[in-house]
Amino acid sequence: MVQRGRYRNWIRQVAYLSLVFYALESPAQLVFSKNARTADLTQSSLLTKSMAHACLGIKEISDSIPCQPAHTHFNRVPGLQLQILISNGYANLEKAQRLIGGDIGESFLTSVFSGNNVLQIEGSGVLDFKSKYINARWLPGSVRMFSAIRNEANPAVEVFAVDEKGFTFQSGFALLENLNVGLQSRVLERKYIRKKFFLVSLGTQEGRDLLKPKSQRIITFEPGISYQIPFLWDLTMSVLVANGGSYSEKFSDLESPVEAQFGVTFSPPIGFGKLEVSGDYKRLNSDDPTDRFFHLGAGFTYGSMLTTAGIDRNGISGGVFYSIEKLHAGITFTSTQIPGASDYSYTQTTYAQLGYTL
Amino acid sequence: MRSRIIFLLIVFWAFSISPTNSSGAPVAKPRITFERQSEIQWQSLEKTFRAQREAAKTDGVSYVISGSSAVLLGIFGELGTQDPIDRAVYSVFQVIGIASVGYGIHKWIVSPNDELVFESLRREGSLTPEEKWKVMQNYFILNDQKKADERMIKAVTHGLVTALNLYGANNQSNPNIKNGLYFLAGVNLLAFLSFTF
Repeated sequence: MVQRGRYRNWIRQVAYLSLVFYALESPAQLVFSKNARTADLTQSSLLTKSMAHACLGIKEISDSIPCQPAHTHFNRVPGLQLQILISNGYANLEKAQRLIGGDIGESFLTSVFSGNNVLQIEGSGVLDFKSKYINARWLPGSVRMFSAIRNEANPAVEVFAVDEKGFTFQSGFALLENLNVGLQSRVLERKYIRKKFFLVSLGTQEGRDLLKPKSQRIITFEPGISYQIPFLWDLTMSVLVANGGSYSEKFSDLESPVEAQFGVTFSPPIGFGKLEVSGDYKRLNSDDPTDRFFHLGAGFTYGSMLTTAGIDRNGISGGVFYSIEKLHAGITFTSTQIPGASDYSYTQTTYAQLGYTL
Repeated sequence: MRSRIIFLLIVFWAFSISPTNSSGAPVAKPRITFERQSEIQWQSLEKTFRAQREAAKTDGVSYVISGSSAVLLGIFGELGTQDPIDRAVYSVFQVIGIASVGYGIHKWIVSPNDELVFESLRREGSLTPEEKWKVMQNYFILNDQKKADERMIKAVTHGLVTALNLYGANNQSNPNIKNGLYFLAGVNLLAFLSFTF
């Protein structure tokens, strides 16, 4: 009996000490939470999200310009396409815009963070021009935000919010039979906030200054190359050298280093429709470890329907997209809970997209 | 259209090469009359159109099935959510679904113009294959001319829209609208170039 009492005391002490250490933990040691498909560095379309961003080897993406500029010449029909994407939590869109705009006071911040353990929003409007020789994208605005609050006793907040606007241009051609080369240039203006802090610190001006947005102007030049082997299930291997260019200012908390991104896509023959399986190795978030670089996606096209699925270390996703003549609509469900993994908490997000070809 | 031109070129090439024997020396050409050539070409065209019709039927069925799934998903999805944005998307699914079913049936049943011209000729017993082939060739040439005229009209239209958008952007004070107009001018310029060359 005495022995059992000793053990019980020892366990109680360990538990107490753990709680003390947890309460003293600096918010900087917390790992940034995210939802599965809203990425720090990439504004992406619904289909791309649904396929876990595994798109470098895909020749044509119905709701977007291709991820690989070398595939520009695969566009069959020139056209101007408007796409509007929004995720659940869109009621927070105005809050996110105000936060990134720097229009913040104590009462506003309290209203943003109090009572919301997780705040998420992604909304964007995109105008894409696609042709056989050149693709262009005008992004008048893309707002992405995710914030999470932990530890009710002394709430620690982590917040990531970004607003991007700009242009993308792509051109590509077949250098040799089955060998494609291309170049993409992005001109972006980015405003973002990426911070971890204790909620009580917002009571002071210094604390509120933590939430001042940072600004970046970016011009990138990203060359790409791809090679197809048509008789091997139309296997396409793709490389893009991303993020090279000029940055008005570089910040350590949102790094986008120059890197080679790799993609492989193949299309196994099935009795009907078209199946495409795709895998990419690329960074989507500035603090991603290498094991988060792997992304796997699949898309099945049948008539006017395109069903998609994707998996990576960020989570799983699945969706359906319908397109007829000029009208397009799609919905994608995502979760950070990966089957088989023991995540006790997870985030689910629904993205909806409507599009019209002008 | 391009596949048809390639087909015609292949047929032309097949009849223009000189046959050789196993040692590579030229052999005497078998006497293939112009009438016989036209008959072979007509038969090949018949095969091509039959394959095209089969493919259109299969494609049409796929649009009917996928359109039906869009309608069902739209109805059940709309019933299962209270979110206004999701409901709007599910409503659009239903619209696309109905349109897709209609499009599929159209593709399945209604033949395009070139198939109708071909079928009219095929049913006409008083014409020889050579005559039918000549009529079909004329149809393809006229159709190409029509497409070239359409491209020219589109190029001129996009060129004019480019000029108007540039004019509008220069007179605009709001930076967002200005950027939008410049983008539209750029897009129309690209469209003008793509229809010109």
